[in-house]
Amino acid sequence: MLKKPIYKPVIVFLVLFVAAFIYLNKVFATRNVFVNVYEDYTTLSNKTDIDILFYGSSHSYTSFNPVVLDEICKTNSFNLGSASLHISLTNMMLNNTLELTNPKLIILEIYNGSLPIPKARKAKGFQLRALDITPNNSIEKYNKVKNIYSPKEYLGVYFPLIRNHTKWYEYNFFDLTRRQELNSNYLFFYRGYRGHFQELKEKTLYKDFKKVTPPKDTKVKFFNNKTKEDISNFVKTAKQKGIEVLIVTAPDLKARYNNYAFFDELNSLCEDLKTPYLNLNDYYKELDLSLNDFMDISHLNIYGGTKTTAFLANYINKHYSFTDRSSNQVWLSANKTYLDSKDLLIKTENSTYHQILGKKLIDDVIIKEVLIKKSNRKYNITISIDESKMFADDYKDLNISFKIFPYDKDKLSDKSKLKKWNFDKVDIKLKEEGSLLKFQLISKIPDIEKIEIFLYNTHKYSGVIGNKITLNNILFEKRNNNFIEN
Amino acid sequence: MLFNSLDFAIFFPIFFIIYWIVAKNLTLRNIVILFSSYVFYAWWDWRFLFLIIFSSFVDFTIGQKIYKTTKKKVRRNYLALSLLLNLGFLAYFKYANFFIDSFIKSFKLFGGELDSFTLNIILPVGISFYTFQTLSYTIDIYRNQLKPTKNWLAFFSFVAFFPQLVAGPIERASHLLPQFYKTYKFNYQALRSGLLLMAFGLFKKMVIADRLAIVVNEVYNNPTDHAGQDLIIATVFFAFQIYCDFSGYSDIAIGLSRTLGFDLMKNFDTPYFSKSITEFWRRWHISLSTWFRDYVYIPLGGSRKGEYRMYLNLFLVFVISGLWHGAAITFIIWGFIHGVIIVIEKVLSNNKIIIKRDQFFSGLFFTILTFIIVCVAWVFFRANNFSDSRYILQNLLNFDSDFKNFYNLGLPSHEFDFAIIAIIALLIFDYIHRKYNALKLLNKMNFVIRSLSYVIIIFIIVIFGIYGDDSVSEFIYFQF
Repeated sequence: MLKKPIYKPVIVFLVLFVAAFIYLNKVFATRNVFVNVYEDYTTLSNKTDIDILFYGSSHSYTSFNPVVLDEICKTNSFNLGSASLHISLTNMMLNNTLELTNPKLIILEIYNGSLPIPKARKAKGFQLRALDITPNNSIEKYNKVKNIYSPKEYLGVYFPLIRNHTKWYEYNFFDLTRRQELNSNYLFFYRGYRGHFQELKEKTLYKDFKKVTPPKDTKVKFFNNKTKEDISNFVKTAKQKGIEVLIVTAPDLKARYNNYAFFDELNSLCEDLKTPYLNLNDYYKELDLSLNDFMDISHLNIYGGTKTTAFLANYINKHYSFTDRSSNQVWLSANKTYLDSKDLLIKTENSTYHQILGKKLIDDVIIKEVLIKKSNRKYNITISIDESKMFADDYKDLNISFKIFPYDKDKLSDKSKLKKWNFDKVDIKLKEEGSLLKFQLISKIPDIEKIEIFLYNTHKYSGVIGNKITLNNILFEKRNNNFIEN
Repeated sequence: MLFNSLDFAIFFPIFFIIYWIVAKNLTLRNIVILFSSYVFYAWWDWRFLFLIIFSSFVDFTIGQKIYKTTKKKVRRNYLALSLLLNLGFLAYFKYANFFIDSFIKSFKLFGGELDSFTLNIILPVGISFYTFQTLSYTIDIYRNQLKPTKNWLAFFSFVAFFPQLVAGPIERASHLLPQFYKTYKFNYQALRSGLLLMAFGLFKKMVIADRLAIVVNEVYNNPTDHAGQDLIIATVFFAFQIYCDFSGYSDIAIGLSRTLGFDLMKNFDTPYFSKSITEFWRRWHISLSTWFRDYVYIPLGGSRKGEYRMYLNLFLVFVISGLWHGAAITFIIWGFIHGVIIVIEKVLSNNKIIIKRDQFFSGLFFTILTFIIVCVAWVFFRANNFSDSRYILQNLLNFDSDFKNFYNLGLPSHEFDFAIIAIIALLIFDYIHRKYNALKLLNKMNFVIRSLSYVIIIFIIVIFGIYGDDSVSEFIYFQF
C-alpha cells in the first residue's frame, strides 16, 4: 500500500514529533515540592547508602525529620512522604525508589484519609506526584491509573504537556528545572521533611486533645480487602528485599475526636502481617506535645516534628541496630545542617522587647509604644499610636515600613540577600481604625542590632515621608511588660 | 461524536485503517462508511438515527418513483410528499415551540387568553443539514437534472457520510453521490493535504474559536453588566469565533473526506475580506447560499419575473435563511438585515450606480464597512433574546472610562492578548491564503521544512488549544 518515497518524510515527521513531544513534556512538567524531594533523594542515594526511608502522606513529611533522626541514630535517612498519597501508589513508589538504594528499615506512615480511592480533583492531583516519577511504560502504573482516574483523564495523567498546557504562560521553555522555590522563613525543608513554623490558629476546638476518651465504633471498617492487600504487598516487597518495616501513625489532633477504631483495626492488621506498629497518638504525654506543636488540626509543625522524631529515634535505637555513619562525610555534612538549624527546631520561650517612644512619624502619627514578642523566627509586633491624633484622609495611602537589622548578615532572609538589603522588613497599611497596629515578621535573625520605622506612600514610592524612627540597643527579656495593650 | 474529542481521536484512526483495508471492495467499503457514520451519529443520540434512516428511505424511494413516471401531476405529488415529510420533521423538531409561542403571543395581542406551553423536544443534531441534502436529491430528480440511484447502500452512505453529516458542507447529490460508486486508491499526497487541512480546522476551532467564546459568553450572557467597549469587543470576537468555529468544522470535514479519497465542496473563502454583503455571501457558508439560490430563489422566480420581484425573492431568501439557522425572532432579524443590504446593493448596481471597491483605500473602506454591517447583524444572531440584542445595540457606544476592564471579560490578560494575536495571525494567513493558497505552498516545500511545520501546527494546537476538564465544546453550527 505504501510506496517507497514516503518513508523518508514519514520518518522525519515521526522523529521530529517524538523529539518535540518529549521536550514539551519536560517543559510542562509540574512544578511542586515533590520534585525537590525526589531530586534530593536521587542525589543522596548516588552519594551514600540510605539506612531509613519514610513513606506515607503529608503526616509523614511533617512529623519525621531526618536531620533529627540521624543526629540521634547516627544513620542516613530520607523522608519520601507525599501529600494525600493513596496507599496503592505508596506501594508503587516503594518499587521505584528501592531501585536506587537498599535501606535497612522502612517506616510506613498510614493516615486514614489516604485509604479511600481519591475522588476529588485536588486529591487526584496529589497522586500525580508519585505517578510522575514512574515511567509511562510501567504496567503497574497503568493498573494504578485505571483504578483512580477516568479514561478521559488518562492523557493528562500520563503527559504533563496535556495536563498543564493551559498554564503555558507560566513555563520557561529553556530552563527545565522544575524545583519549587521554598521560603526558608516559613518552612524548614530537608531530605523530604517539611517543617512549618506556623502554629495552630484555632486552639479552642481541640484543647482537650489529650484527655478525650476515644469513641469506639467498631462497625465502621476503615480497611477494605484492597487496602489490606496494598499494605500487605508493601510489607511483602520490603521484606523480600531483606528490609524491616515499621508501620506508624503520626500525631493527629483529630484522631481521638474521630473514630479511634481506625488505630485498633490497623493494629490488628499489623499483627496479621507480623509487622510492628507504633501509634504515636498513644504517646502524647511522652512526646510532650502541646497545641503549639501543631501547624493545623492534623499536622505537626517543626517543633512538634522535632519532638516526635526524637521519640521515634529513641524507639528505633531501642529496637533496631544500624551501622554508625557518624564518621561518614555525608553524615557529617548533614550534622552541620543540624547544628546550624538547632535553634529553629526547638521552640524557644517568648521573650519581649518593649519601648515607650512618644515620637512623631508625621504630625498626625505619633508612635507611643513598641512591643515585640519573639519566639524562634517569629516576631509579633504591636505598635501603639496616639489616638488623640486622628488620621486625615490624605494618609490613607501610607504604609508603615518596619525594618530589623541583624548583627550577623548571614541570617538575613533569602529575599533580603537577593535584593542586597541589610535588613528584613515588613510593610503594613496605616489603618484608620484603632490605635494598635499588630503584625508579624517572620525572620531568621536571632539578634537585632537596630530597628527602623518610617512611613512611605504605597502608590508612588518617594522615599521616607516625615521622620524615620531608629531604635538601637534592642534587648529581649523574659518578663511581662505593662504595655498599653494589657 | 465531536471532531475535537478524544472519542473521535480514537474512532478515526480505527475507521481509517479498516476503510483502506477494504477500500478495493466497493460494497464492503460503503458498508464500512455507512456503519461508521451511524456509530458516529449514534454516539450523540442513537434514537435519532432512525430519523436519518427514515429520511434516507423516503428520498431513495420517492426518487425512484418520480423517475419512473412521466405524469407531471404524479411527479409533483411525490415531490410534495418528500417535501412534506422532510420539512415536516424539520418543522416539528426545530420550529414547533417557536410557532406555538408566536401563536400564543399573537393571540394575546388581539385580546385572547391562552396559557403558555412548550413541547419537550430535543433538536436532532444536523437535521437541517441532512434534510437539505436529501431534498436536493429529490428535487434534482424532479427537475430531470439527476438520475436516481438504484444503489441503496451508496445513497444511504451519501446521506449519512459522517465527515459532513452534522454541519455540512451541504453537498449536492450530483457531486457527492457518484463518489460512492467508485473505489479509490490510497493517495499519500491527498492524505497529507487532508490531514493538514484537518489540523488547520482544529487550530481554528480549538485555539481561536473556543478561546474567544469565553469572552463572548461572559458578555452576551450578562450584557447589562458591560459597557460599550466590552460589547464591541465581544461582538467582534463573536464574528471571529463563529467564522473559526464553522469554517474550522468545514476544513476538518473536507480534509477528512480527502484522506478517504472523497472531494467535498468549498464552504468558506476568506469572507471577512469581502467588500460588500453580496460578496460576503459568495464567501460565507457557500454550500448553504448556493442551496438557497438553486432551491428557493430560482423556484420563487429568481430574476425572471421582473426587477421588483427579484428584490422580493432575494429578501425572502435571506429571511428564510435566518429562520433556517434557528427558531427565534433574532435569527429572522439577522436574515432581514442581510436581505435588506443585499437588496440595496442590488438596486444600486442595477441602476448603474457604480461604487469603486477595487482601489486600495476604497477597498479597505468597504471591507471595514462590510465587516461592521456583518457584526451588527451578528449581534442578533448571538444575543440570547431580542431584548438583549436591542440593549447591546443601544449601548455599543456607551463607553466606560476604565478601558483596562478588557482583562476582566473571562480571559486573563495573557490569554486575552493571545486571542488578539491569534485573530491578527488568522487575518494575515487568510490574506496570504487568498492570493497564494498557503496550504498548497506548504505542501510543495522540502519534506524537512514541511514535517517541521506539521509538528509546530500540532503542538500549537496541543499547547494553546482549549480542551480538557472532561469536556470539549460543541461546534456552534450543530444547533442549526
